[in-house]
Amino acid sequence: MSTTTTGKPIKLDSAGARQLARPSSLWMDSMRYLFRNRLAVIGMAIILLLIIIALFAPTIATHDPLQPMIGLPGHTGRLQAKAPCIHLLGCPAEEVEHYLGLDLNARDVFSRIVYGSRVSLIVGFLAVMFSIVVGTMLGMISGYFGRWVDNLVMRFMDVLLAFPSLLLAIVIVTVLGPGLQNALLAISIVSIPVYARLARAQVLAVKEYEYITANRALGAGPIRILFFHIFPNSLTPLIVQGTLGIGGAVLEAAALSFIGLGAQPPDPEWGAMLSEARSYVFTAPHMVFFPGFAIMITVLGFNLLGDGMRDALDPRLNRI
Amino acid sequence: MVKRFGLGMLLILVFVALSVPVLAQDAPANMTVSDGGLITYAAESCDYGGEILSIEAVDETTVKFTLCYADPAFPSKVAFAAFGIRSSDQLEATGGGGDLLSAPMGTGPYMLDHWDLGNEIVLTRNDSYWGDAAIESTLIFRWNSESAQRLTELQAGNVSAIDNPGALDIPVVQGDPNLQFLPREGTNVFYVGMNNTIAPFDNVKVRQAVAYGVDKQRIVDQFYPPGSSVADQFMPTSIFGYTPEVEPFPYDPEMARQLLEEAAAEGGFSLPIETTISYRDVVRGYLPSPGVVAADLQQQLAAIGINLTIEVQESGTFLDNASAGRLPIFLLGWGADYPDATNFLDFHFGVGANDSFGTKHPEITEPLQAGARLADFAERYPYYIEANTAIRDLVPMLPVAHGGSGIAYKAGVAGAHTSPLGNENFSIMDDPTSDTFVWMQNAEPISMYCSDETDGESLRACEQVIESLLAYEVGGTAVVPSLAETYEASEDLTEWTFHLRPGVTFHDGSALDSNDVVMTFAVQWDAANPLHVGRSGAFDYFSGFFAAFLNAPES
Repeated sequence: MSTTTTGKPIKLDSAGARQLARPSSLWMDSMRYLFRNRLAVIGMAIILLLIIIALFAPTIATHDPLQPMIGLPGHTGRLQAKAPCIHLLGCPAEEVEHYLGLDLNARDVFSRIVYGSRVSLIVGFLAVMFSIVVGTMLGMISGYFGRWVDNLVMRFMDVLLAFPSLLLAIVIVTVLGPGLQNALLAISIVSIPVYARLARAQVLAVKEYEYITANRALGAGPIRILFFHIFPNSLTPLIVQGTLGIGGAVLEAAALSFIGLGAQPPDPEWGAMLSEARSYVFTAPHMVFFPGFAIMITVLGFNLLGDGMRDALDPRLNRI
Repeated sequence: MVKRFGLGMLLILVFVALSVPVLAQDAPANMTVSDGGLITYAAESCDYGGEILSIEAVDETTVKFTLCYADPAFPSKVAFAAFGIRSSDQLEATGGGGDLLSAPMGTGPYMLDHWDLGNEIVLTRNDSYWGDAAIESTLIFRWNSESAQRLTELQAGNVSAIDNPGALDIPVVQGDPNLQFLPREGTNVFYVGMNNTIAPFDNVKVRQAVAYGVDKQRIVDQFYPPGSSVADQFMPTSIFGYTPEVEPFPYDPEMARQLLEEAAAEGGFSLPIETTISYRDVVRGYLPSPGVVAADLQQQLAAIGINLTIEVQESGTFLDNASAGRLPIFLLGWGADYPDATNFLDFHFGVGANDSFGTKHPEITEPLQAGARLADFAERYPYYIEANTAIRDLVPMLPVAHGGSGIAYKAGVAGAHTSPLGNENFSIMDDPTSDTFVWMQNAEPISMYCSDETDGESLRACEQVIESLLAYEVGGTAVVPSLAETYEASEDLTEWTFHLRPGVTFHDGSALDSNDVVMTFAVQWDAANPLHVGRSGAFDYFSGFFAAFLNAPES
């Protein structure tokens, strides 16, 4: 695109010409590209839906997620792993509706999945936020100052990267003790190196730009340069990686809960629900299918959005 | 003073160090060998605290046990798999461990072909078996801890039978014309143990509150397979020692809350109580779905003011922690080894019991001690009323359920049965579709030296290969002859003489004689015997059944 010296938009008369109504920024452009990407929009819709479900869980859930239905009105006989009951689909009207059936402790699976979205989203967002903050700090310091600082930080990151991430998370949780908070911490720690390396690579490139040299000539200190001039220009890949990382964090939290190191009973968590029900995959598939589906759709949502963001924020991609 | 003491100690240490190898080369102090080579193993007196005074090879085929006190359950005890007779030559050759654990050799209808660790145990028919030879030429033990996978294997025809189908899978098995389900009677008990040395369970009112606050009926109705029942007391109803006169505490959450408030008022803690409940995530007949029951208890006890954090521990760690008395409240159970009160009550609450419930109560140990030494059931009975009443009131644990379990067989399997003791006999079974019988259970045997194992999954494998002096009837609990053709007891039940079956040979072809019997018992009995090694060296069953080891190291 080109503008006149006065800044007024001009009409381009090439083949793919369009009228530019107002000045454009990288962010505005990216957003526009993002919304034009159908898959990314689907991803965004999924995430938005999940956030709404998590926020309004008490309204959406039909039952208390921790309360076994044993002895409650309308519930008789053996309730363990009872199949879904939906009146519209032919379930007798005298039975209480349970959209996704009951679990092994006769708790409502639908309500547990609804409440489980809170756990998964919180873990996903917090874990990624923590690792982005710590990882970016370390990476920027390492990249900007170089020499022994760089060596020290990055070799430590190499050590962390040398372990398979889930294995390292298991080790951390085993040391700290099982529980959701410790699982969150473990997931954060294992993903720090990814952001540290990304931030360092960005800083290494950006700090050679002339405007940084100009800044330094003007007398700006390293902190000012690092945080006000380098950081904003290194943000793009971090955002993309972060979005993709949330999906990964949700999956890892579910994996840790599956092996009993994450959420502890009776908390509703999708991975733990899967684990409880794993022996009943043929006899009571509703207990396995729905938590598994919830994990899948969440991870899919973040991955679609992440992919879309990567395309939208990449200035090298040739777009009209 | 210090110096002199140090020197003395040094001299003693040097003396001991020098004498150890000398002692090891000689026969153990308690063992004498006659001119004819017959072994007698005897304690100097009964002062060591155990039940056995001597074991004597009277002649080649006769063994006499002399006891310190009457033991009416003695035949039931020697029939147990932990006392399977080993060849004394093999005991000697293996040094009491090693191949004894992994390459068992006995007199049974099957002998070990190979044990593919982590995968399967392959047994082949013993063609020179003294009784009816096994029907199938090969018996394979496999294992899988997931009930869904066990069922899939059975449905696919890869295995002939599976142990403990999941509660929800039982209707599937029953509805499948190619399969049959045989229930197994629940001669076991699932209990919630509480340690009276760990606060707040050191207050009997808290333990009683738990007893009032748990709706056992709900747990059995919802989470146990058909054939299970609520446990009124520790003893299963079908075994001597069950006393219907002793009424359990009713389910009364209001009473439970009141007791907790009183206990809290006495000081030491505030409500709600925060504590950790532990269990091991393994399926056993007494507790088919541990995680689910733990979660339900968590919910039930929260209602009376006890907030539980659930902690799953690895099976071995959990058992060690429980016996060492490190767990405040835990889920565990017990299955009958032989049908008598002593197997249940003495093992858990008697003087020789481990520390899982904390310090012992004389109100319980005294009647148990008296009851165990009497022969007449009518005379023993009042003592068990006394003991069961004390157990109810002091609540070392809360008995919850007697779990029914079962086995799913292929429909055509002949001789299919279940045993209330969990020791199914595969030599009489016939899978018509194959000349191999494949059995799939919950877990791999830990070792096959069952004198030093307590896990039922190990014991069942041992029982196919190794036989005891007596046996339990197939599918029942009555004691029947096995390696001993006949036996008799003196009038006061302190002398038991066993007459071995002639012509029995071990799998290596050597003949069974009375020395094998003496040595099998002696290496477990005498802690100073160089062959007293085993896997862990605990020999839990020996000390549990016969009260104490000879020459036990002082703790």
